[in-house]
Amino acid sequence: MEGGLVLEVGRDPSREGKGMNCRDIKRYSSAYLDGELSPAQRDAFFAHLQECSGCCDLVGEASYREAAFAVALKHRMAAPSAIRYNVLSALSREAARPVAIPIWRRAALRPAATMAAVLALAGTGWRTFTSSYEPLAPMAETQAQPNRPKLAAASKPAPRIAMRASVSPVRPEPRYSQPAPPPATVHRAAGPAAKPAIQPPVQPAPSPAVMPHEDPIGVVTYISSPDDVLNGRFLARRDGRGLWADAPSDLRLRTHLQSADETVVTITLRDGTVVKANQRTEWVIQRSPTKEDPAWGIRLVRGELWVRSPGVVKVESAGVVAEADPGEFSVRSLDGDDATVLVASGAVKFHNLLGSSSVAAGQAGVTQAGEAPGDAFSVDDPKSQMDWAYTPAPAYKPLE
Amino acid sequence: MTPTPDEELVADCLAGNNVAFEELMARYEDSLFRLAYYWTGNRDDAQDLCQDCFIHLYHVLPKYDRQYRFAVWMYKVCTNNCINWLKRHRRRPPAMSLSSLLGEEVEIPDTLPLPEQTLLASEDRKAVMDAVNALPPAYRMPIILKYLEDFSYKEIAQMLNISVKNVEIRLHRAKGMLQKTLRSGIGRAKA
Repeated sequence: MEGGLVLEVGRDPSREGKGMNCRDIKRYSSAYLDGELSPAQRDAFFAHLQECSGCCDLVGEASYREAAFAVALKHRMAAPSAIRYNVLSALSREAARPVAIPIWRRAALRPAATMAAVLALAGTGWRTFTSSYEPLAPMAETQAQPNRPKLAAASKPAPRIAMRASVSPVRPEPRYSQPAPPPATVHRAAGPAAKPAIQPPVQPAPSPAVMPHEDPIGVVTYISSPDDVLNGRFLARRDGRGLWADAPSDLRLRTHLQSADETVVTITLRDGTVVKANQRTEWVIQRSPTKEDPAWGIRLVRGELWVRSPGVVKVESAGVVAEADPGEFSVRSLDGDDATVLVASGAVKFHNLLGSSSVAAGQAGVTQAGEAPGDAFSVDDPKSQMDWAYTPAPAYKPLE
Repeated sequence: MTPTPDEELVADCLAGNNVAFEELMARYEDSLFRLAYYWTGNRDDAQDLCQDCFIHLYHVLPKYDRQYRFAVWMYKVCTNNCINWLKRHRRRPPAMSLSSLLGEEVEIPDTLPLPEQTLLASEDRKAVMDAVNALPPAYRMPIILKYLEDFSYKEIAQMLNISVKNVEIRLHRAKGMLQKTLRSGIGRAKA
């Protein structure tokens, strides 16, 4: 009762030398359960409880209820690793950004500004922030799982047959007989420094996945799925909103994407990078290439992604980064605790703060969260291991 | 080995050692994310808010007031950020429901739970979380700081710039509101 509570404020029964009454118990029970009563108040509180069974029940009930609240609210919740990455990247970009100086002061300050910039670059410890896309030390994961079995170096290279079993495709079935969709047509402007032209294969139509005020980073070009599963759509979530996306539709950065059962989603990014997500895959395209870091940054939460890139792509999963420049490869993390990279062409650097390994075409690499990437080992016919990405599948037919 | 005290890490960070800031982030990212999650009610906003908090924290680190324990000072900065976030987003349209977009009921396959569903394993937990989210902001923050982080009334008072008595009253009322909401929810469920 709030009115009663206001009237009681300022009155301290223990200081008045009187015992507490039932109303006091009701008022002080919250502070008592939070351990915030003074010794004198606690004595008065207990003295009343010894005499009043009704208040005993009330406090006992409140104690049980509050313990339940605390248990419900205090469940373990790990922050997404993207937070540290994004913060450090943002701070790194800030550090690299020139300070804005009013135009009328620029001429006067030029020599001083140059000297200050040189000193700042030479003297400050931006060792970490400047390597902005380095994977973050999986400290929490390491501490949380001290007994996680380590991948022994002696266990690699793994038997080839085991590779097939342990990295079996998420979506091998059903097979489809219909022809594959036309490949994405990508035109790139000539010259190494030229900005790649955005030429999506299909003119994107506005869709619910379009978020205002930001440039699209690419287009969902193709979704394959049997008609009876989620109507072939996939889920895009951003800013707390969940939206079904169709093909074609624009994509924005940091949209949380999630493919449904038996649904393969194909995305063409603006520089021609093609990303395919196997069924039951969650991923986020976190970064687009910039002058400072010409790499796409993709976070794979779980599932499997296949990437073919003409430029640099970094796929982060389970505390490790697979970096290709350029290449055709897949990264798989079924539970978010381990990651497997399989390379069809080019070479992929598989690294985190604990170590790195180079995975060449025809090889695979495995790592577990909190551990250094293991050595690469050979795989027979890597494309057959990623057949879901190469197998033609029927296109999704939109609802009428 | 005893971990380096937060205050020492702050001093290292102010001396130009950014690894120290990473260490601070590693220590507090889970709890700050949890705070943001209960404040915003969804993971995407919580991630944004948590990132904003850390970036802001980095900028205001030179103003660290040593009369407070670092965690208390940090939460003071972050709760201010949370309150500002709420002001900025107050006019944002409510989250769209998928069914309203499609005009039909749709279901995500059971095999792939959404992150929120993974996190909220039981219905009870969800009911409590919904009840906390339904609290007015002035009551929500003390509850989060008390139940999630076990801060004392005095520390919560310092963070929110209110008196200890006020914290006590807000918590008392907030608990009453939670109880009422949960009771009516159970009543509805039974009916």
